[in-house]
Amino acid sequence: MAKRILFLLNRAPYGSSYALEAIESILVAGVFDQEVSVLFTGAGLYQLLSEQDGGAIGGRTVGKMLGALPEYGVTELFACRPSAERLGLTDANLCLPVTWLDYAEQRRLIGRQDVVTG
Amino acid sequence: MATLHLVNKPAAWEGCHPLLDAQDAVLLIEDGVYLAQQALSGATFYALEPDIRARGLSQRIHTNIRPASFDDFVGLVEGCQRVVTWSA
Amino acid sequence: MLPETDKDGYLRNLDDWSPAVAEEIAQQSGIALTAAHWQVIELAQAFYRAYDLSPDMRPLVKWVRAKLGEEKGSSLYLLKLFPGSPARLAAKIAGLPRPPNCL
Repeated sequence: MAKRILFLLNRAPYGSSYALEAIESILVAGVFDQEVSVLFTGAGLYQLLSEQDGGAIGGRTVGKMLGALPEYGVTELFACRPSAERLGLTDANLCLPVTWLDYAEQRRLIGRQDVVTG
Repeated sequence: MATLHLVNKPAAWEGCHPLLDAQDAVLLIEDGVYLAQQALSGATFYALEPDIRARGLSQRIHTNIRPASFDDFVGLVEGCQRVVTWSA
Repeated sequence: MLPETDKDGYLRNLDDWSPAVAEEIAQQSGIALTAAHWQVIELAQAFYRAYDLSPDMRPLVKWVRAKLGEEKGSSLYLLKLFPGSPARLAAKIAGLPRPPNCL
């Protein structure tokens, strides 16, 4: 029985292994055919910045890896509009298309989930 | 209770607060209990009592925040539809 | 001679890869590479270049189907070419890291 799982990503990509670990979890959930959605909020929006190059610090590029999500059947990508406004980010800055949500829409998104995780 | 939000650091509050529903509960744990010194709004608030005591905050907890034991913690988790863990 | 690999046979340094190295890794796994194998190897490498990620089985099938059509885009087809664990074997021969989930 597929569960509705929301990954709530609120941390910047390179300061810790958090983003990479989260991506691996999302891919596993996708492989197991769960109903996966992802919400980027706060500093988590930095994971979507275009022109990232993890190779510059000897690692992988988080933005590129996130591009694989649709290949794993994960197509519901949401982002927090108030966070983006606070950080000065728009669609033009991001490497993937997202659906922008205000706080009320995010509350409804959370309310539809069986599991919410980081 | 719809969603139980676990907040384990004061810095996590900023992300959590806008997404609270009136039917939600928030349990402050670890350094999150420092938040319990002020009135918080948007949901029903609990703070983990052992974490409060360990930090010497027992006399400083705001009256709208209920102390919770580990058993209460378990009860809250069992009584909710989903848990969201906030860490900054 | 084969460049340095980890204990599972994946190249430690992806820059060490060459078609000759691929032939050698394939041979060790009991596979004689044909044009059909090379198609899949090149697609796995393209996936890796696009996403910084070795494809697992499901995305590899999907990716092959998108590029080479329904007939080749199936688990069965890939299993025939790379018996056992196609995503893992293809990644190994393509000089890529082990796919994350290895299902």
